[in-house]
Amino acid sequence: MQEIRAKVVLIGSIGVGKTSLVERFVHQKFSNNYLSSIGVRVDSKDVQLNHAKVKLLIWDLAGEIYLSNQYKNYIKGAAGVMLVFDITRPDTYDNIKTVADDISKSHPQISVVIIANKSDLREDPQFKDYIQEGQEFDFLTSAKTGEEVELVFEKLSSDILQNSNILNV
Amino acid sequence: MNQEYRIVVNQDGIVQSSDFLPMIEMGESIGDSLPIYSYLESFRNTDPFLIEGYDFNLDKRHFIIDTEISFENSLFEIKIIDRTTFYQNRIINQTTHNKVKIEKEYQALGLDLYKTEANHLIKVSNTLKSAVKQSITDIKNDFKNLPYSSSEKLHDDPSLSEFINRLYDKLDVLNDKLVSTSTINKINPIDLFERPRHIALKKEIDHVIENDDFSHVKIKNSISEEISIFCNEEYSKNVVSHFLNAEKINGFQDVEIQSVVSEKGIVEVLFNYRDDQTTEQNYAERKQLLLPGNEEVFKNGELMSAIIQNVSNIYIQELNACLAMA
Repeated sequence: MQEIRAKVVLIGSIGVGKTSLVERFVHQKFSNNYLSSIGVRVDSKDVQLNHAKVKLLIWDLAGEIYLSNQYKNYIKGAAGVMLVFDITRPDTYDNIKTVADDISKSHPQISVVIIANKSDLREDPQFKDYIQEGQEFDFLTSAKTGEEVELVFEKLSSDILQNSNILNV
Repeated sequence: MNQEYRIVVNQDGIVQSSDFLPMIEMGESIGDSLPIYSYLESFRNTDPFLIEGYDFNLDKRHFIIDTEISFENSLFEIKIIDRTTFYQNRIINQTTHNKVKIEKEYQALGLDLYKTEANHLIKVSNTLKSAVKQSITDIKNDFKNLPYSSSEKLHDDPSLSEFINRLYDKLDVLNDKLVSTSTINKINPIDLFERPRHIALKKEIDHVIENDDFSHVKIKNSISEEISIFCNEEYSKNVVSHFLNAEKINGFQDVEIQSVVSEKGIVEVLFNYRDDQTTEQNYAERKQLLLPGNEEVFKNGELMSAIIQNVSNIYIQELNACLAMA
């Protein structure tokens, strides 16, 4: 069975739920208490596909790194990038598409997915008015309920596997 | 206090030397201890590469470090600065800062949505008024062009002549009424959001009363001096004037203005209109106006919706009143 190791980087504004997505995927946990991330956290998890195992090294970057445009330093050597925004905060979608296009153009070997997170708030009367139409994304996730979280990592792993720039363990 | 450590690894990621003991020892794979370096290739072309705030657990201890990697003579040198305490304090401050930032984002967004809603309301209102005005003009022109109106035949049929004249007069009144209702735009709901400040409600209403001629109607301002509203001053003045304008209160004997503040901070102003048929405890007509009582109301979607809905109703009532004249 083929086994590969791949670096995946989560990028997005502050408070969009990047750390929560990783917590949900790696540890099957979720906390409602928001705690800001500082710098970088790295987690790992194996994704079992049909004929291969992808050992993901998941880099969770603090929102400040995205906002200050320093993320470019951190995606070097990455096989996948997850761009995350919060569906209830349109400001967090600003530039996401541009950044995705820029990464795809400058690093064609990197698989990029756009994630609209906090889908559990779609029907929450407190937030539903804030949700805008016309945003382009690949997955609608909820770190809280787990909706599409596994699917995102599986799809990205599958894309990475097919990509030419993978590293054999 | 910051502590600095130095680790050297070969191109296979095996530790050649380390003073970060006992956490990382010679012969270990660096990727097992510091997953961030489990993929050394990613740093080969970035020399030196500084990572600030790398957060990890090792041997049941939590570290947040700054780390820098450089590549020389076929070896990687990793410098570690342990800044755990510094970053733990920063996390607390950053969390507070981010929460405020996110709250402000929602607030700005909420206000934008309400402004859009209010703008839409005004556009609809103006479109309706224009449509009605145009219809009136068209009907008047049709009457003018009736063969009856310019011929002797009209005199032959006095009842028809009277009917047409009466209708024509009604259309004139309707037209005037429509023009006068355009003053409703003075309470443009968008203004509600502009430069809001705390305003003493009783004083504000007294000011409106003093500046108008209410010789025929007794106005009683029963609002507590402690009640304040939080909105644009011009808006509050115009909206209060709307409920006290001469045309509206004509026919009433007195108007009493009362106010209550809800637990959530909405100020409800009640205009009680009495005529000679009503008693002190009763009223012939009552109008309700909702205003924000403080900054917190501006941040609450549900409350702002209620306030905008209230203004919407004022608009709709004006339009209906105008149309009812027809």
